[in-house]
Amino acid sequence: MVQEFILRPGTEYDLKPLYKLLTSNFVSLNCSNKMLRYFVLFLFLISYLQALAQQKYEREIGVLSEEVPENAVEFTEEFLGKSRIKWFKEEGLEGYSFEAKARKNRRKYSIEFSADGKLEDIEFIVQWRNIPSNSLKHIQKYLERDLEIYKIKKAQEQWIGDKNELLKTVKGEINEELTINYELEVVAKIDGVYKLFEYLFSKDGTYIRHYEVILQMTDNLIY
Amino acid sequence: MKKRICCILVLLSHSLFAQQNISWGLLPSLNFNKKLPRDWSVNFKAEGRQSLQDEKNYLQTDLSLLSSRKVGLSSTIAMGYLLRLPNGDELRNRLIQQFIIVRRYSALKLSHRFGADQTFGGDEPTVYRLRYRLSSEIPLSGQEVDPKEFFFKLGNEYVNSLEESAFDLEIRGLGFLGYVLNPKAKLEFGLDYRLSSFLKTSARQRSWIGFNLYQSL
Repeated sequence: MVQEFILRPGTEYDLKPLYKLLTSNFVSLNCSNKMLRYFVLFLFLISYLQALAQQKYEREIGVLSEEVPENAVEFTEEFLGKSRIKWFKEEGLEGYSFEAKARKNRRKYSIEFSADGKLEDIEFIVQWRNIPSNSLKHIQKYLERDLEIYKIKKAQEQWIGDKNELLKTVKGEINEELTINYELEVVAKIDGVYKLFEYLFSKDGTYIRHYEVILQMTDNLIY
Repeated sequence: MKKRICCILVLLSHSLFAQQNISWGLLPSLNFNKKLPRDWSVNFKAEGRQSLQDEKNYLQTDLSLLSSRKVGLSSTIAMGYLLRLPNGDELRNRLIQQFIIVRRYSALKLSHRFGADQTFGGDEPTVYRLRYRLSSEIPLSGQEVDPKEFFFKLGNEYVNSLEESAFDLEIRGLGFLGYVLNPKAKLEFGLDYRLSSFLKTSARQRSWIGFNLYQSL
């Protein structure tokens, strides 16, 4: 027998008949309490996974050079020569960009491009102790004032400039036109909590900006 | 690299299936972690064991509560208690102490876990264990494991145990395929192979099919 329920706004309803109808159907299907519990758990899991599927996150994925704008590939191949280049697409909430990573002459390079292939900057890892001493003094003074107790984990030299000027550096020409910055990864303990920061300083050690790096969850490697 | 890992996993699982006298079972777990102020956190884990041999008995449930504190950006100390509820047997208690280091490299994370535990209660004698686990998380796309991406988790653990005056070494190898649901949740599915008693006459081999959910609250 088919029962019809029509809901009208502003009216109070007795839901017992509906509950009875639902439970009687389960009984008629020989569903035990255990099966019903599994069914509810399954529905909960499905709705949990569906809710997750609707969320958007920043992420980085490996891509082929064919998927990267031609001008970015051309510049990178000219700059890095025969190095093995790995390409990544960084998807953010407001768009995407490309990054090339490779090693050349014992340096680990990372070259960033906008979505249309416009060069943004070139970075390579350096030993922080090798930063010119005057600049390093300024940097350390700033960090001591800002963080008190800290440790520099990693340093990168950043080059920003015109493509042609950057290509001249491949031939070993020192180019005064380039903007050189230092990007530092710094660990500090703030209010009893260990945090990781990324600081950017100019060539002479002047502070430009910094932000906190949000570390990814590692519970599955700890417990 | 990824192809090589796939080949290793296929070969490993093939050789395991080809072996005789391996007991098989299911080892699902739920893991909840709550961060507290000043780098403290509490972790609750519920793990079940279901045999897939002969009568397919449900074996036991483990409930554990660990309290941990970061002692560096990459290092953590954890201590806690585990309650073992064997099916039809007496309860067992376990005290746990751990020191964990998680190193972040450009294309993988590597974790070293040093641990000690003492299991007591019931009619069984107390068991003392010292263990070391090396595990790594390798992203399957990009250089980091981002949300909605898959990863491999490979691990190797050595568990030394002392029960009365009998010493035993158990070697564990695990290979899991994981998926990041969101920045606070990870799912893993894979195989946990355990070889023990091989120092004596006959080795004991157990393989668990694991399904883990890690949820940070």
